[in-house]
Amino acid sequence: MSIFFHEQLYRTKAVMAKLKNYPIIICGAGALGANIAENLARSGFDKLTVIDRDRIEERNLSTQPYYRPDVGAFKAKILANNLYRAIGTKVDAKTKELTPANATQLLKDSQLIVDVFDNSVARQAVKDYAQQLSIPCLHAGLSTDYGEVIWNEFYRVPSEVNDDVCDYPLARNLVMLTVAVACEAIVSFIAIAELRNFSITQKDLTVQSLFL
Amino acid sequence: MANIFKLINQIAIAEAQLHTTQFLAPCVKGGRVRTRVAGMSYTFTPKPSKFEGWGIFQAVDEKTATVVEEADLPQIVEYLQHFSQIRLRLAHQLRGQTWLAYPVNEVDMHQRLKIVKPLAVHLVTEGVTFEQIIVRWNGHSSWFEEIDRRTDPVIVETLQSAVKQLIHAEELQFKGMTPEILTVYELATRRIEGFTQSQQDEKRLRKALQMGGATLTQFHDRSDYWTVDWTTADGVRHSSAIAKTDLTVVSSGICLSGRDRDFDLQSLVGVMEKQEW
Repeated sequence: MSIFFHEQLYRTKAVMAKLKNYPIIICGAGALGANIAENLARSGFDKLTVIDRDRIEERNLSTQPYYRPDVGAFKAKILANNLYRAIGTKVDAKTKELTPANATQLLKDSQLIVDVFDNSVARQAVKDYAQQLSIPCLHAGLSTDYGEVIWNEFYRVPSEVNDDVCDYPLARNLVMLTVAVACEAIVSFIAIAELRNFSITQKDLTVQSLFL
Repeated sequence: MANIFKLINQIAIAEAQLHTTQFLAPCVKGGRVRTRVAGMSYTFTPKPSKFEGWGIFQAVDEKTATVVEEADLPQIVEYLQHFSQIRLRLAHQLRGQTWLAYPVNEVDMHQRLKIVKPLAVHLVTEGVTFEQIIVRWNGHSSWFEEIDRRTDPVIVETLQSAVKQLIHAEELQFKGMTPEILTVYELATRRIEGFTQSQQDEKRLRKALQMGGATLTQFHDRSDYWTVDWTTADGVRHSSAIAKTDLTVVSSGICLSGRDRDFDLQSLVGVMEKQEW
């Protein structure tokens, strides 16, 4: 029985075969990137690349799938190792900073790019590359109390300057909701070629009382 | 009889093959790497010589191999899968990424490898004292594979906490403790300041006297017993001979009608203060 038995029952065998062989590059291995990579790998994606130059910090442990002994190590490397140990998926980890100068080299051969970087300079480099080569690119991002999942055609980079900050409010539930929405947008694109854009707020987590 | 020219020719082919072959090998700091090409074993000094870790090597000549790149996890796992898996618990760091470790289960270890002893484990990248790890044994050396996620992390915390409190192995006791854990604890604490036998002895004697309300002045080792100089709460000094095994009185210093052995150091304090005998 496959690890992805339940997913296959839901998605169908044909869709699962597409997901398995679809190469995706995830730009960023932070709250969104690491969880998206894990979610995609555990959903059956087998050709994943993760680019991130950052190292794991203690404050990352609340929203990112890393462990205390991992603090100080490269995010991309640990993510790849964890997923290989967990389910045998070989994630290609690149521990380099993506810049306009090396975007072509790092993103070459990509069929789909997921941009989840935490700064506008790198996001702009990814957007420009995807636009120039007409490669599908999904941008996912978070603000204080909302998240966005937007395809390149409609995406606007938040700032023209470097807005890389480390102290910001971040709710784990919003992270996980945005991750799920982004992954579903990716699957929709691969399965039925539909480009779905989303805006997500904490209110989308509202639980309605069930009156019987 | 084998044709010598044919053999020489075979060796020449193997050597030519060696220079075009990259190989994966573990390497300890200052150590050498080994590979087998066409049935022949080659041992190389790595370049850079300080390299430590899992590397992809390329032979430069018969004696030297350069590090092409660091091996990634899937490559390492594939290599390690050829060897027996054993579970050990880390005792302490020996040097670099080499640690001393002890089997988690002596019986299991004996059945698998016919040996039960502390082992040096190489390339331990996630080393924490007392952590349970999975190791691969190739018949000569043991190589770290990963932290054993199945183990109870509370054991590690309990042991680390015991070290901080300078608890001696003889006093160590907690739910889930095994003889193997005790051995690891002894291995780990043997090198730590505060765990030397003399310091432990002093702690043991001081504690026994304190419980009786007295204080230790000094003590001397006399092979199977100590002569202990101690002072009661009212300031009277005494010297007693105390057995090392269970702190029973060998000789109290006063007449106990030959019943010295009925008392231990703690109860002796009360006897001396009251002079009931």
